[in-house]
Amino acid sequence: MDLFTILFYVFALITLGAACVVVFSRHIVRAAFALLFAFFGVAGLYVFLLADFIAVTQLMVYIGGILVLIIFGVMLTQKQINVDIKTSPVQTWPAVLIVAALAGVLIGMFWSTDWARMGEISTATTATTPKLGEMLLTTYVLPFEVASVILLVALVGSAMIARRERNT
Amino acid sequence: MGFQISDIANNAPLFTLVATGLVVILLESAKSGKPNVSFIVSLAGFILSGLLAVGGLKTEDVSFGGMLMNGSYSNFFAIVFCLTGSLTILISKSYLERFGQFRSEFYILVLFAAMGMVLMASANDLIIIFLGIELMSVSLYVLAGFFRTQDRSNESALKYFLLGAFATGFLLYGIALVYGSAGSTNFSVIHNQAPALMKNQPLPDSVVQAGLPDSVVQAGLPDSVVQAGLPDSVVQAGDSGLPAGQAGLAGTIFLLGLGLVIVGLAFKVAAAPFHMWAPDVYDGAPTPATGFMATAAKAAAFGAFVSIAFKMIGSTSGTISNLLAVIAAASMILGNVIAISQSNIKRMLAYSSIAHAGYMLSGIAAANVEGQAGVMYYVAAYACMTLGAFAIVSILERDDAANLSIDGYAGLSAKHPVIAAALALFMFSLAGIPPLAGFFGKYYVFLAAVKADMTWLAIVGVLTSLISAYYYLRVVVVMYFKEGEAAVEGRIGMSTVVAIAVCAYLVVQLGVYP
Repeated sequence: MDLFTILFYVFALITLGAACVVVFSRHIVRAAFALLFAFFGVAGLYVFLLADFIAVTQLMVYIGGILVLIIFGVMLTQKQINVDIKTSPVQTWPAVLIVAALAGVLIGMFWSTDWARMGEISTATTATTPKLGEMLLTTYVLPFEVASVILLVALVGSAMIARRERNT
Repeated sequence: MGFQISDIANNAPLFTLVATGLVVILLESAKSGKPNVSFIVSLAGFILSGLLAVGGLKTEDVSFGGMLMNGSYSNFFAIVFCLTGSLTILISKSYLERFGQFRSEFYILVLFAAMGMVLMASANDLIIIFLGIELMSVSLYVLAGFFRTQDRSNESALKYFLLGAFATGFLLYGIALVYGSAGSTNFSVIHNQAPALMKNQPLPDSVVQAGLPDSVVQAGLPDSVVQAGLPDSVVQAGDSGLPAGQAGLAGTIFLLGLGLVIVGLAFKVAAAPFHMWAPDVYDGAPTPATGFMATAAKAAAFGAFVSIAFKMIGSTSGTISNLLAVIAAASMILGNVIAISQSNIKRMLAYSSIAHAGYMLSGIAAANVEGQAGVMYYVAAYACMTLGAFAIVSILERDDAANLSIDGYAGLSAKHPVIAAALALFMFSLAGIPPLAGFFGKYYVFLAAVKADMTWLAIVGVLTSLISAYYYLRVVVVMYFKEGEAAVEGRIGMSTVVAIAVCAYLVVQLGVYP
């Protein structure tokens, strides 16, 4: 086993272990912090896939943004901190069916994929970020701008919902 | 590729809506609390945008490097959105004033929602479809909860948001799978690859076409067989997305993705079995917003639906057509049957809108030229009559959400004969009684279904239309032949009257000169 393989297993283990804690933990703060490690592990896996931009985005958006938001949310709703969240299964049979179907698809994919061919994919490291930026402002300029309008609308909407009642 | 100056001219209606929305935001922040100005500016923006769309009907073009499709199709839908948008604004003024919620945000949100709708209808790329749907939905979530102090309105917004977010997840997952199998999100590219991808999936009839024995197909398709037995295009599909050995899998993934995209869109048009949100959301939202959701949003979702069905998939797929036909039949039956038992008029109209989604879907399921034209006509006709009905509901609604029951309309004809006559007109049209617009809409989509050898679907449609006549006409009967105390509280807003008149005129006009 070379260093890369060992590192890969380390990151995979971090991701899986943390994800299990998220699912099984009865303490909401503990689950939130476990989520941090799960996200971190996934970011590491992205690096192995040579997706440097996605790895950085994963760190910035999920850990820097969403996770902090979750933890803030948990902290601000004080009463919930010590509440035991329910981890016992509900609706067992539908869940079993869906999970079985999903697992079937995934395992099918696993067996039918020609893994040996994957080695042919170039492993030369190219920086993806400049290319992505260029694409965003040329080919994908319209989606890029529309996304900014969506954010603006979300801002207007949330300001409207959250603001204090004006006596009109 | 990329951006060109002509792209702005081609998409003038779209950019007019954005510009108006931004101007209204700036005006609102400059002089706070002058919603009258916002009202006039938004109305002017909608009318200007609509006129530009009329002007652009003739030029067929693509813009933004193939992201958008401009021409008669997209501009037709842009006109429908501008019409419904401006009518919504007209209806909303007196309604919002009555509830003490006359604020500029309403107009900002309606403008941006309309922009999302125009994007959906002119999209030539799955990314644009997704962004358009999100822009529209985010605006509508807030519009549904516009009366922040009312529990009903909040409940409506929250339900719409949670279920809508879930549906978006389906849509996005579907788009990802389609991209993975076809190697592109562009409609034209996918359209070229769709026949090959469809043939390649392991179904008995496709096996015969491809000339392969059963066992080989199910054994996971060794490379050599795939390349020997299938047309060249499949091999190309393999090159663009997946290794050639997985071309067989790509067909399955493609269909799975399409199925998920259809689920996401079926949610937006409120077709059964993805309709559960509609009655509660329509009931709780402010009535002008409900009217906007039930007409413009549905029209936009159908604009996207038709694009995907005709421009992206093409008429090659029997599987997709059958799937859509089943959804259509389920919506028609479920919507109409449940609507009978509704006593609240907004809920009744919600179930009726589910049924109408079913009628329109049968035009798409037919997958022929008549079906496409029929759906476009139906969208316009449906928008006019439903928005008109909601306009009248908005006049009669009182503060405590009372007077929404159908029985509350008893005796309306004696007090307000004109309003009662207009409502009767919309109800007749919704029931599909000739010579009004609703009749010809149904006629065209059912004709398309018959031509596509889906006679059973047309029969289901006609039978359920008969059922629907019962509950639509019950409103008319209650208004005219039942004694009652129906009354309008306070003054009827001038702008609402204009809106109702426009709707009534269009319902007759579209019907008499189809």
